[in-house]
Amino acid sequence: MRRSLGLFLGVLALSLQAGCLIWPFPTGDLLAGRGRITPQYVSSLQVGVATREDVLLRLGEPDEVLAGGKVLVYRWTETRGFLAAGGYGGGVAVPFPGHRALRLEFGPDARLVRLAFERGAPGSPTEPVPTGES
Amino acid sequence: MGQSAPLGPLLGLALLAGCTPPLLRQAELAEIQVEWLAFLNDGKTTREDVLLRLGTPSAQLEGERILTYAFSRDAGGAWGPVARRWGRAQKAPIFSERHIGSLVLVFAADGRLVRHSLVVSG
Repeated sequence: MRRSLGLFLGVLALSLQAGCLIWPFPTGDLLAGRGRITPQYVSSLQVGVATREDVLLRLGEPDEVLAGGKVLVYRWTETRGFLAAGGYGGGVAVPFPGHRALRLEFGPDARLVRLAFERGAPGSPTEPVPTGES
Repeated sequence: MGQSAPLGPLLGLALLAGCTPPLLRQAELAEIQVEWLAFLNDGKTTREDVLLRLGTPSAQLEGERILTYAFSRDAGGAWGPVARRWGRAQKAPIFSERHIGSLVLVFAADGRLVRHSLVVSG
């Protein structure tokens, strides 16, 4: 813990010397998508109980419909931090995005069989988000 | 030095304020009873009424049983249709405007509206 903090402060100090700053804190900006979906918001969608209809009424139009409607995916992108560089006469700040997704899978009876939050852009290997985090 | 010490935490708090992006939520009753949605009545409104009033849906699922419409709200509060754009970072079509609303309409076999909702963010 102490070592990682020291490393972080070292990188921060070095980046300040070089005229650039990595600001690794989310700012709350939504870069794309309709909005963040929280585990609390989807807690009413129970596996084995909720239907595709219930999901759509709760979450709205999905961003992806796969396997003939057996999989619905909702995506959004948040600002996870900034890379800022500057000097005399100007500067630039570039946000680095955090891609998030909620994937819902349905059985033949159109009932929800799986609900999972994921990280990563489409086409890249996604990873499940630990419980309690969105 | 002693006076500047609290500035760090205060600056941090100021920067972190509002760190939650807009959250998806169900529209309040007042939001769904706006003029352009006032014609929607479960059990009465037909699919034909909806198509004539709102035009081509942005998506349809389970055949034509479930229709969805995407809208964005401008600075004046007026709603208008909106479409996804190709997101280079997302490598997929995605909404990039702010304040997107998604209207979901579920119809019975006879074409009458049985359930509907408006999902917004904020």
